[in-house]
Amino acid sequence: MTLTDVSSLTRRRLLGAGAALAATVALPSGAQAQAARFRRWELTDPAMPPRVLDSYKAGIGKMLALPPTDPRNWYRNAMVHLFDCPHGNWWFLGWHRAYLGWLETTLRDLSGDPDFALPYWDWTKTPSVPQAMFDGVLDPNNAGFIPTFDEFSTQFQPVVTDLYGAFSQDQLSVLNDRGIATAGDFMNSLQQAFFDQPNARGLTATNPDLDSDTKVAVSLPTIRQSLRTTLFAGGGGPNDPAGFASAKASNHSDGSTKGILESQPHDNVHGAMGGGGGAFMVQFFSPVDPIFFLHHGNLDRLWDVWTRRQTALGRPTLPQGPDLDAWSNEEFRFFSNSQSQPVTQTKAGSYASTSVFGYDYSPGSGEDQVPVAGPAVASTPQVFSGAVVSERIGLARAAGGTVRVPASALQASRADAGPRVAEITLNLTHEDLGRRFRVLVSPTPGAAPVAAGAITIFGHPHHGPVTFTVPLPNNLAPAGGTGEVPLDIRVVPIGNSARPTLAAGAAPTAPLVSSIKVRTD
Amino acid sequence: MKRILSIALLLAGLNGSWVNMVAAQPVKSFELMAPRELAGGETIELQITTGPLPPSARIVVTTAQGEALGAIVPYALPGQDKGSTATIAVPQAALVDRRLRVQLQVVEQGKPPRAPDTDEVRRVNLVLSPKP
Repeated sequence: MTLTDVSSLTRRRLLGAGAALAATVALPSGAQAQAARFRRWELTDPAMPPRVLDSYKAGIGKMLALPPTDPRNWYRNAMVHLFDCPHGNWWFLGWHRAYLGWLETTLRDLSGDPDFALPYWDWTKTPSVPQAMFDGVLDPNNAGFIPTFDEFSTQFQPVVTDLYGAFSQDQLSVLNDRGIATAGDFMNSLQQAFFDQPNARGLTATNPDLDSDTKVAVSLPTIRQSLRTTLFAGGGGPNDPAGFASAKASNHSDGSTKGILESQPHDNVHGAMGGGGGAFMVQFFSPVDPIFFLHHGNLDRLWDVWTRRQTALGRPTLPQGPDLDAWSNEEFRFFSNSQSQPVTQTKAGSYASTSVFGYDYSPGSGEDQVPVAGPAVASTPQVFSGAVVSERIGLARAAGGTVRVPASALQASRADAGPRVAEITLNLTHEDLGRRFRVLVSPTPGAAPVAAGAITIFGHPHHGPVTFTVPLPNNLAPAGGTGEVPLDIRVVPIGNSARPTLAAGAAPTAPLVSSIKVRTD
Repeated sequence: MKRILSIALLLAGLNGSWVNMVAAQPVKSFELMAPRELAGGETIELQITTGPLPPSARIVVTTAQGEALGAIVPYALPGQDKGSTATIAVPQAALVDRRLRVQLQVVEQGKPPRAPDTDEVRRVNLVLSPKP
């Protein structure tokens, strides 16, 4: 595919940011899949054609061999990241989608593979550097790369000086915001970000595993919690959640609150690639390492997963109201295309959808968070009442009972699963103020219970029945399980919180636990 | 409309935190308290604002029981790490009686783990996000 094809495709699809964004929100995932011209494969997927890595290597080899004056040179492409990349704000995902997409068109052109699309690294599935990434120019310690900063400086210093002389005022303003206002600033910064061989990548073919902290950062529970974020971007206030794409900021060189996706898998995988020390991947010059694009491909894929999840649930996929204009109109001023020309799609809003580059992804981790198309079977709240078998809290037999719930309503893997809660009604008296209880749940009577939450009687004095809601733990029913799960729900006192002894002659108090229900939405 | 609930730092500010020198490895501990029980489907996020960190350093976050929650790795222009605010997912089970106890530790290559100082960890906050 040529430059003209991509640009015309983009123009047809994105007639103005507003229309484009509206179309993106309304576009069903099926339509996106049908429109995809290219597929980004998960690197270890047996279905991935072998030509993908061959073409990637061929394209990188060509880019490494181009002169430093050519914007398509591999190091010139990495410098764009240092010039302009947003991190810690809501343009993080959009800018990197553009960065990967424009590189992909260049690689497609230079590799001679008209179907080329970047592969991605699903670190949740494979929490170690795939062995394929130690082969040839896929490893930055390969002889095709510049071995030392001194040699790099000799080749690129004159080009950097010329670039700064040719930058527009708008571009220089961005560089000033980033503290690299001059060519000298830039080279000084680059010296700290350049890692000489053989330390260009810290992890090795014989020691490829991500460290234990990073494995937590890429684990499925972390990824799922990130995907379940409801907002695209938080407000950036000290107590605001960050949102999926990180929080709002005034411009894309400014910092705000990083979301789970950015601060956990993104940052930690970058850091882990250094192997505990320095290497390209731990700094803003990280795109020198070809694995950068497989790492960010997975982040971009997760953005696509999140977007399809939000769409399926009828939720916004982008900022709303005036925030949409602020986000969409931010200018990205340093991208060039496969013909070494500045791109015409300079606004963030142009990159709200993968359709701008015509690709989709082979399925990967987190895909289970996208509800299956079809009737919204989970949209109707269901309430299941249980039998209270022991009413008084604090006796030898824990108070509570059993609620029989269909396994399908409890399975944690259901992407469209709403909250599943236990509703426990306690008959309270004024004397119960300050008492605390723990709610234990086990999937079958007699099985080891799991702490679901706690109840504290606070606020205005209560008298009579009061219902408390406690979220149920995940994994109470095995994935794919059928039939009913007899949830055993018990209420036990925390610490020394026995019910006060009744005064002589007082009327007996009502049983404490009077009702147990499970509600699924 | 999504409701945002922020949190109180149980120990007032960072001055209220303590360094657990008794433990085998020094950590800085924080106890955070949610203002109420979690409603159905709410998620818990930990927001940690860090200052500049030494090269190759990271801040490892665990529960008081030692369960790893995540880590903070600086990613910035060389020499211009002004700090950032990171978000870490917290499993519901880590919240006990509305309280979350976490431990923070700086891990650097070639050096023993240590507790972060007050400039390296400037703020720790618990944020509740309603039903996903």
